[in-house]
Amino acid sequence: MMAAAARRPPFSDGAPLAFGASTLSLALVLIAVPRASWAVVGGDAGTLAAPASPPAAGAGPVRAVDGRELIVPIPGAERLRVDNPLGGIVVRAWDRADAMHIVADKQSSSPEALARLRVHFTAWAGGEISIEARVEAGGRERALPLSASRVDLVIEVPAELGLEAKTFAGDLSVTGLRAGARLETTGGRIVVNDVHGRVITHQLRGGQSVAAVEGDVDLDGVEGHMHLDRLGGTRVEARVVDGDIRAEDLRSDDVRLSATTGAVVLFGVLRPRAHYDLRSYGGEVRVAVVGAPSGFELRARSSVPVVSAIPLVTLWQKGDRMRAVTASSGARVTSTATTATAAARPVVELSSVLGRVVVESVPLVDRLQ
Amino acid sequence: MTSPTSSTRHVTAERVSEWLDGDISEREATAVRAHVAACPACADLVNELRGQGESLRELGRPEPPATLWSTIEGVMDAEDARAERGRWSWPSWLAGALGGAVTAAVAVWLVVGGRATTAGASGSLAAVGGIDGALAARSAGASGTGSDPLLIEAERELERAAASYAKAAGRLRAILDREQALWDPARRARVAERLARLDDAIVHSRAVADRDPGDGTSAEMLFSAYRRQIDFLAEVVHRGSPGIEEGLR
Repeated sequence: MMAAAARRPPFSDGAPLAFGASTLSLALVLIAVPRASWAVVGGDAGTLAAPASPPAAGAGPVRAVDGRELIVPIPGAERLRVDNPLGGIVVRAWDRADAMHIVADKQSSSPEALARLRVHFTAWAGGEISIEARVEAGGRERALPLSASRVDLVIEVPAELGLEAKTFAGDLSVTGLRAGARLETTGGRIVVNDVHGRVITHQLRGGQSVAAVEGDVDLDGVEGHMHLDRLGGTRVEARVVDGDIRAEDLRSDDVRLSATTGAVVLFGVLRPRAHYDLRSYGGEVRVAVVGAPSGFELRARSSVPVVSAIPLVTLWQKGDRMRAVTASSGARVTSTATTATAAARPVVELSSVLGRVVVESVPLVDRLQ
Repeated sequence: MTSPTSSTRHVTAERVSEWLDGDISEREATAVRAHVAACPACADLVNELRGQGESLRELGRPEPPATLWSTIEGVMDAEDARAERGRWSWPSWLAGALGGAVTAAVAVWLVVGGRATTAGASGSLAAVGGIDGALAARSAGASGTGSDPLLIEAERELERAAASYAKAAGRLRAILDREQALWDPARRARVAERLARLDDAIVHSRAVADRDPGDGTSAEMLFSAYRRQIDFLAEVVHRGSPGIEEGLR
């Protein structure tokens, strides 16, 4: 990443950092963590002074780089807000409950521009921690994206810290948290793995991969594919305009997946009483039922006949809409089934205005291999 | 330097929104109410959220997206930045020192880059319709960034993002145009009316952004307006022809 590693004294003649009363105690117990040739140590609110050294000849484009690494005690912290319009954010849980570890790397095409990139850490009295990347431009610090300069943040936090994180073009990656995450990016990729609690995303483009979440999931995107895997909350909802949605192993009772131009694919076991609502305007909508289907009700809309590898009994059909049940459960409905049995059937709504609607059956053994 | 406390710390837009929706506990509501009563900035925020909520409710479904918080949050961030607070920060050991060669290079880039940005955005926004005038104003306003190369660079990034939003909205609008040819005139009129309001919101946000080019907060407002339009268009497209509102049941 660093084309030209900066060689500089850790501290020089810069002005001391300013800490408010509530954060003064934190300043005094800052723990030193060496990082390459630069570091912040002790409570000395030092600053970096020397400009970045030029790279060796033939080392490629000149990139001024700089960085900081801190371990900050955060007693009583409940929530972390990270706003980085200048680059990416990686947040992962670590095994310390009262401190966070922040690594901030900045790089730019010139030392002058590099010096105008700032990262602020604030510990609020109310239990919120905020980390903000800013650029000094037009006479003040601003939350603005840049194309030729960037700041990347890697933050290790106690698992129980709630998270709100926002980037502009940088990727967002979250792992191991236990109090949910709210993520927003304009053009970065979102990756969430092993998170408990509610996960909410908003994205213009870049794609999203969300896996192993125990909590409600609400994903919103305009462009880019979404991949959902092993989600266990009560409700899963994902919406994208231009992009495919592929979902596997969802254990939620309320699943709503919607793409406008892309395909929607659900792959997994259908849970009793669960409701699956899969829609696309222009793409294919496909359900691949893993294992022997225990029976489900299908409500479909498609301009072409529904393709089903599982025998269906049509209950109702009008225009491009139909209702059906799987053949075995259909027989029960018309003969001996009780209301309770019918109510336990999962409901699968599949709708595509222009594309196909497909129901597949996938043997469990195939899935395990 | 004073420390931030729960009384001086602004309430987040998300929290205000939850409060207005009655989604927080009475204890939390009391704290929010007390802060809003004492803080003009947050009172303005509440009024703004209330106003936006009412006007959006007039549009009927779909409801405004949860992304509204980010817009308001940006305003609050700016407020926060003005407040004294403790922070750890990178120093400004070379702030403001731009060499003559760099300035000259940027001046050249400004002329070439500015023209390219204008042309690119114009094409995509034209597809959305109704806001070409605002685009022209936006382009003219780009000169307001002055000669700071980083501001110009940032403005270009924001403009690219706005163009992407406009392009996505344009594609949805094209789909809608095809679909609504099958609709009855009354339904078409209802959708057109709502879209006109959303276009107005974009034009308004553009105007705000033009007043301070390179300002992240106003850009967030513009993006939020685009997201509302995209959400509405996607919802309408998915609902499809008359009758689909009853769902598949």
